[in-house]
Amino acid sequence: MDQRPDLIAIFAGGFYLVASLRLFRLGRRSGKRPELLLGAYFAGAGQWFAIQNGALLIGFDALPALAEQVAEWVYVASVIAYLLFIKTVFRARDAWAHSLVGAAIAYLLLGASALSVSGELVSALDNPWFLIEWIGYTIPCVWMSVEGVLAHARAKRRVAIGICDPIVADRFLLMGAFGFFQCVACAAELFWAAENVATPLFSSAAFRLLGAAEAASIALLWLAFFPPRLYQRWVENRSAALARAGGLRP
Amino acid sequence: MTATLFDIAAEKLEGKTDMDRLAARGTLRLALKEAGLDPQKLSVAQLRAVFEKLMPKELEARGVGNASRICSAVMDQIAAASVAAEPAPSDSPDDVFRRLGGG
Repeated sequence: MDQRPDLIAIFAGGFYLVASLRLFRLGRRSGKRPELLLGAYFAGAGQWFAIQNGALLIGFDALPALAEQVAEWVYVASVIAYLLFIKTVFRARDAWAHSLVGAAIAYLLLGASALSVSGELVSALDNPWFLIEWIGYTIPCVWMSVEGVLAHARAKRRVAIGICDPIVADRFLLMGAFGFFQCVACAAELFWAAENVATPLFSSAAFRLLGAAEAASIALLWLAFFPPRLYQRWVENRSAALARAGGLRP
Repeated sequence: MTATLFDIAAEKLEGKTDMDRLAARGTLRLALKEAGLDPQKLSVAQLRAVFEKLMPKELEARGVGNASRICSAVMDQIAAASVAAEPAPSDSPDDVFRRLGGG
């Protein structure tokens, strides 16, 4: 079996855990919920990636059932935190957002509960509970990508009249792109699940797609949460150059 | 219900021009849309930038004379009246995403 995506997933897990620690620290400093909610998501996703793939890498065929159940439920809780982060930040007053969050949570809980009761967390297309849970954790990925791109488009206009930092506008786009690559990761999981009906082995193509999506996600989060000075200067210079050229002039 | 900053600004604009209520609110809404701002989540600083950089052009396009002077006058009145307005939410997407970078 090709182990490279495993290593990327373990690295992604470690990176998500580091990002979550940073967000928890920022949340404690500001006393605000959004940082804590996003930190909770990365903590849940990080432990899931690190534990699942770490166990495979050190020679376990599978995690002990209880450990797998705990990791799964922590992940489900973290996806709920992610949904609440997106709603709180972008759509706090929109009734449809409440409904979307409710629907996604219902899918997550129904799918995860049924998988837990059956005792097998099997990712296969002929397992309806897997598909139901998949919809639940794909919704926030799609939602984040859409909100990130829309917020970036609006923020660019505010940058043009001097009431938004170009770094903040760029961070919207980075998080939108992160959402997109998480959608790619979800799609890769679906490809894998489609093949898993016939064989328990990972498809090398789906596995590589998953690895590429996670590698891209790490790069985007690094630029969003730990932006190097050089990158910040590039964003600021690009924004200033666009304004000079009239590209961002209102 | 407390008036929002948008309500106050539109009212002041209506008082300083020949525009009726609907036209004043519509013109301000268009300028805010161009600035990527939500009328319900405005801060005084954002409104000031809109009145300085976008509203003069919008007013001139509607045949309003002395647009820049009117905008300055409206902003002076808003600065005085804004204490009575419903405060803008402190957790706008901009605020949150600024903090996510550690700022």
